[in-house]
Amino acid sequence: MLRLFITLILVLAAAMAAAQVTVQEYPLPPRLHVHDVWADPAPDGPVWFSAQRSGQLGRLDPKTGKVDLIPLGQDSAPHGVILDTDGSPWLTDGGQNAIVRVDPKTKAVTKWPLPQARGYVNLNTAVFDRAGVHWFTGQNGVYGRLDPRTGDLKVFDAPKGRGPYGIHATPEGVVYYASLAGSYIARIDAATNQATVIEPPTPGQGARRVWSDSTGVVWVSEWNSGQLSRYDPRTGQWREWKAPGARPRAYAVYVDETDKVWVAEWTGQVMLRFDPATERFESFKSSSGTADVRQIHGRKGEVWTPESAADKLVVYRYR
Amino acid sequence: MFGLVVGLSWVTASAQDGARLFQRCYACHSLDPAERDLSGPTLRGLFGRRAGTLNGFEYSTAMREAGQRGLTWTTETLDRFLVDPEEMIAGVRMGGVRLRDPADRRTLIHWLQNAAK
Repeated sequence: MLRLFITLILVLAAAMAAAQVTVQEYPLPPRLHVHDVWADPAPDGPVWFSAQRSGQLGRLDPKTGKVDLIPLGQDSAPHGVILDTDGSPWLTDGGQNAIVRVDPKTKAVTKWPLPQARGYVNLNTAVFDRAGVHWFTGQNGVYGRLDPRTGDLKVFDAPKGRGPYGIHATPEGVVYYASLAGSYIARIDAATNQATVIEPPTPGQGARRVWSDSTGVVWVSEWNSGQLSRYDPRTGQWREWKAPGARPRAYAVYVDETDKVWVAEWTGQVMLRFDPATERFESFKSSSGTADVRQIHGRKGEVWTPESAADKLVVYRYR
Repeated sequence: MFGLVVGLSWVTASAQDGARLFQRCYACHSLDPAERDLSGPTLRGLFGRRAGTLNGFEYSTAMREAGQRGLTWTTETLDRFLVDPEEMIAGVRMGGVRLRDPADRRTLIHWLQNAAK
C-alpha cells in the first residue's frame, strides 16, 4: 500500500512538472531548412536562426512572430549561429567555407574565408571562449580559431580525422567539442591550440553535440548509442543514460540555467528534459509529426528548438 | 601526340576536381562500405541502387518513400538531387545541402561513376 502511494506521488509530481512546461510554435517561411538557433539573453529578445537551404540568417521577434531574413551571399549554406557579447550573430557557413558575422543593426555581412590551402572543411558549429576567441569545428576533420580583434584565423587537423561537430565552452572558458564520426569529445588548450581526446565509455557512440552545465561538467548527446552522457573534468568520471524508447538517437543537447539537461531525440521525435538529481527523463512534443530538431538553445525560463523538417521555431517555457 | 598530352592533363585535372568536390560529401558519406558509423550511407555501388534501400542504414521516411515510388540513382537523378535535395525529395535529411553549379555537379558525378564502383 505504501509502495502504491509513493508511486502515485511520483507520477503526480512528474505530471505537475510536465504541466509546468508550455509549448509555443512559431511558423517560418517554408523550406528554409532551419538548422541552428540562438536566443538573445534578454527576455523577449530576438531569436536568431540559420537557414541552411536558403543561405540566410533569420531573426524572429517572439513578441510579434515577425521573421526577417538576411541573405549571406552566393552559395551560402549556414550550419551554426551564435551571438557574441555585443549581440552580433556569427555563422559557420559551410556553403561559403567562411566564418560570417552580421551586424544586427545595419545587416552588413563580414566574412572570414578559410585559407584556400585547407580546401573545403564543412564548417559546423562555433563558440566564443571567455577571451573572446571564436572557436569552430569543421566536420571534414578540423577545428580552428578566429580572433575577431585581429582577424587572425588558424585551422588545425583534428585527431582521428573527420567528425568534429558540436562545440561549447565551460563557464571557466574551457572549450570542448564532440566528434560524431570519431566518437570522442576533445578538450582544447587555448594556449597551445592542442586538442586532447577524451573517449566516452561506449565505443562508436557517435558523440554529436556537447554542452557544459554551470559547474563545468560536460554533457554529450550520443547519436549512434542514443545515450545522454556526462563527463566530469574534475574526476575524469563518465556516466551514461539511455534515452527512452526503442532505438533512440540523441542529436542535440543543451543545459538550462537550472542545470537540467535537454535532449533532441529523433526516433520518437521528442524533446527530453533530464533531471540529474532524480536521473529521470520527461518527454515533450510539439504538434509536428516529424520535427528533426538539430540544435537547442535557451535563456532563462525558455528552451528554443529549430524544427528543420517542420519549418518552425518552438519554445518550451518553464517555471 | 599534343592531343594525347592535352587529353591526359584534362583527365588528371578532372579527377583532381572530382576528388576536391567530393569533400562536400566527405563528412557524411564514405566510398568504403566498412565505414558504417557516418551520418549518410556509403556511396559505393550508388549508381543503379534504388533510393533508401541500402541494408543496415536507417534512412529518413522521405528517402525510403522516394525509393518505393521508384527513384533509382543514375547520373540524371543524382544531378537533380544535388542541385536541391529538398526540392526533389521534400523532408530528406540532407535538405540544406546544395551543389548549385552545373559544371561542379557534372565533374563530381563523372568522378563518382568511377570512384563509387
